[in-house]
Amino acid sequence: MEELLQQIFNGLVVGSVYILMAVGLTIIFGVMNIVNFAHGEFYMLGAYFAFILVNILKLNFFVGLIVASIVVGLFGIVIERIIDRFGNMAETDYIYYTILITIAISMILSNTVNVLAGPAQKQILSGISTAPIYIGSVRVNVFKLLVIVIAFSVSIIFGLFLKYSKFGKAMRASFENKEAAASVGINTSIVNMVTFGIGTFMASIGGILVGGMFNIFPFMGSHANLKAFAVVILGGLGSFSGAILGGTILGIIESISSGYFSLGYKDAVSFILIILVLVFRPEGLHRRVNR
Amino acid sequence: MKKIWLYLIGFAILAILPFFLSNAYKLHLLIIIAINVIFASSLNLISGYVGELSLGHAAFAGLGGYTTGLLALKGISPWLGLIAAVVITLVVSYLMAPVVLRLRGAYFVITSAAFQMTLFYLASNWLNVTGGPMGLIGIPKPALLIPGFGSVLLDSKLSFYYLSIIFAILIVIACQRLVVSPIGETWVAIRENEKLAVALGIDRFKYVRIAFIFAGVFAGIGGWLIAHYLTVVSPDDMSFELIVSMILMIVIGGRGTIAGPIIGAVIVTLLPEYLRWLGNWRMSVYGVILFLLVIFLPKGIMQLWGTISQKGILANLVIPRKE
Amino acid sequence: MALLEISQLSKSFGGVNAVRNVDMTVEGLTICGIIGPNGAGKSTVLNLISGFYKPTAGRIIYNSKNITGLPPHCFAKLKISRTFQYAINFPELSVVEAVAISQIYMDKISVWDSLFKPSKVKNWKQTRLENSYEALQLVGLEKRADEKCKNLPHGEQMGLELAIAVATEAKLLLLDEPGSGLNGMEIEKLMEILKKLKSQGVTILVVEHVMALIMKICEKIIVLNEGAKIAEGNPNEIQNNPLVIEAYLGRGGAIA
Repeated sequence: MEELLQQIFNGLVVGSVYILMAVGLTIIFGVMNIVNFAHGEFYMLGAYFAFILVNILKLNFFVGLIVASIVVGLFGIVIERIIDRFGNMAETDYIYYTILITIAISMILSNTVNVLAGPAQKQILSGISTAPIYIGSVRVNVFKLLVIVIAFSVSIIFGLFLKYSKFGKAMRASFENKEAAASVGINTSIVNMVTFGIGTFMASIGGILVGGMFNIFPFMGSHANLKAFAVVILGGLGSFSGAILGGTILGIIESISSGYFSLGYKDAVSFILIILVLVFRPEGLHRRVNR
Repeated sequence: MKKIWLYLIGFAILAILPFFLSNAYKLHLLIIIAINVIFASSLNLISGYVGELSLGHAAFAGLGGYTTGLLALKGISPWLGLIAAVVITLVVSYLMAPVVLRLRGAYFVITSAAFQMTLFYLASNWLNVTGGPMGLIGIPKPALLIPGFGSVLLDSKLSFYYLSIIFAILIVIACQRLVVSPIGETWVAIRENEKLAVALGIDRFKYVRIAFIFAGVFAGIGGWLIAHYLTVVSPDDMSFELIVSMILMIVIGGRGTIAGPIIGAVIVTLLPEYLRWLGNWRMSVYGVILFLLVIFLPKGIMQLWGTISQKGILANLVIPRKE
Repeated sequence: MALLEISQLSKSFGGVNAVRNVDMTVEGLTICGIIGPNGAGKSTVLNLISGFYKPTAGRIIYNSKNITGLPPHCFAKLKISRTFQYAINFPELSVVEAVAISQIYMDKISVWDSLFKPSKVKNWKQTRLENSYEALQLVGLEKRADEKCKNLPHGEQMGLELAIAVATEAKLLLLDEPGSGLNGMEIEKLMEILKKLKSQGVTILVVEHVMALIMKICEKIIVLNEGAKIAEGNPNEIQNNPLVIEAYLGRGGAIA
């Protein structure tokens, strides 16, 4: 039983990062109909920026976290403008186009970082204790608790923003129906930019948190991206609460299965899970199926 | 009649080409090009003609490779391995069809990606069966039984070149015939306007499944070829890099055309060779090239042929060309 | 025995009852019209008949066959053809290609044939092509054969859809607001073609707003309001029916 609790805790830690990634992906897809294959690269960029700020410039971890993520968010807006600028050439194949564009961006970013920073793994020295603390028989540490707190706070704050703020309402309107939103005077360009910016901001936070716990390396983004997609499918593409639920569930299930299967299998578990969901309960997906 | 001569001359050139090459490495590249033509043409069926971007396609290549690899290491003839590869990819694509084809657009993309990643992780981790990340090694080459000569082992690059070229030609012809037939027309109709196609009596699922199965089986044959050529099969044979490369081929060459995948395969195979001088920057430059291509030449190089070609391609599709 | 018999047809979306207990029949070789104010459920009825929506209740009998709830791709084989409200076509294909593709449902070409019998495929395509040119001639579009569908002026796009109906040998033709966006001359031409089709053995059911069209060519008119049938009869009877007048005036509309 204690083992189960331990695994649930570990799952929550990992799951909370998944949530950050999945929420970002979800809003980008929901508002802009872009399947962002470069999402993991923003996660990675955030980690590297933070590494520079914290390890090299010796800034405080939290300062590094915020500053790096804001920079990444702004960079995300730049990327969004680029995609948008050339989007009109895509004609009817918008999804094809954006997927290929984001794959290309992902290749450029990850390989450039690989050349510039080298493939060696590094760790962000957060200065926050990773000494084990015991809650009951569950082994935790301050950093991991922080990860859960930060990730969930960011997600909840964003959720509140989405629900109650004026801009959040504009975002939700665009989520449902772009043309209708434009026709009631919502500036879809600004909504798109902010959405992409927020999405990449959250990805960056995820990457920095992971960088403080584990290692960072240039290709860490692709792995994270796939997990994010898994969560999004699990929760329903386009569903904010689904992303939160899905992230938590996936994190916990992976954690539990890593206890029973060998390490590599736990990833296969996530994907088998997705396939089962798609076969038996794709309803979460069917909301936006026919385009 | 004129067209037949063009093809025959083309085949003749392909047949004697190896003798004009200066080294074995160039022959190796030709073999890879031939296999890539198979991969690209197969992906083109589902992603070019029907228009659904399948990110999981590399999985079928891997299935073909692993099937024959496993059997060959148990002493089974590679030719039976070929049959097995075809059967396995046929069965898997047939079973996957109802799951995957219910979805459209982004959902199809992600689902197919999920399928491929699952198989990738299974291949990487099922040490007993698949040999894990290192894969299966020591796969034998196929042997040809020629009456009167006995058994000829196809272990020279030259013999494998002819083997792959023959398969490539057969598969391209098969794709062309499918595309020109009413079946191919349903694909175009579904891609152009699904609602209208359905109203006209086209059962989308039935016809897209045909594309999906053929694509999977042809990719499996490509996987069989690669496995026996390299004598190694590993998770890299169904990696994300492979599917990106296949997509590049059809995007560069031109989706939804017969010549497109061929041109794309040639370029994508040779481009890294010419970019080698970039060293570590190679992949980043690759990304930049993909980026520029998607923006400026979304219909691929075939687009440069101009509107004449576009009309010609579609016209040949629906209306038989007057010879 | 009427060609098309609809009994107690109903369709609700969520809580909205778009179509309520509609009964109607369409006799073979007639032109029948459905009219009603906006939101009356006319297009919904058409979608129900052609399989694009599944009825929540009721039955649709065509040629003595129960076709209720069949998926939309089954209707071409039944020789039921339909048009769509906003010109819907294959934008990048040429006009004649579009008409040719429409006949695919008739194909007896199997996968085996495609791979191993290219000459059989070629002959079949040639036959289809000839049919297509004939159909285009009937509707007067033969000069547009090689133009891309997206370049067709709006008035001729309806002609294309009718050519498709001819080429597919439709016995029942369902038209969804064919007159919308057409000028007077085009409407005249449309009526000519419809009459020609009828004389060639096609039964026509038209959903329409343009009264001139309906009143001139329909033998029977059915009026819907808020999902239910409120009147049925010949053009004269409908024009003088107080319920009909009220339904239109009450909504701010007008007849003719």
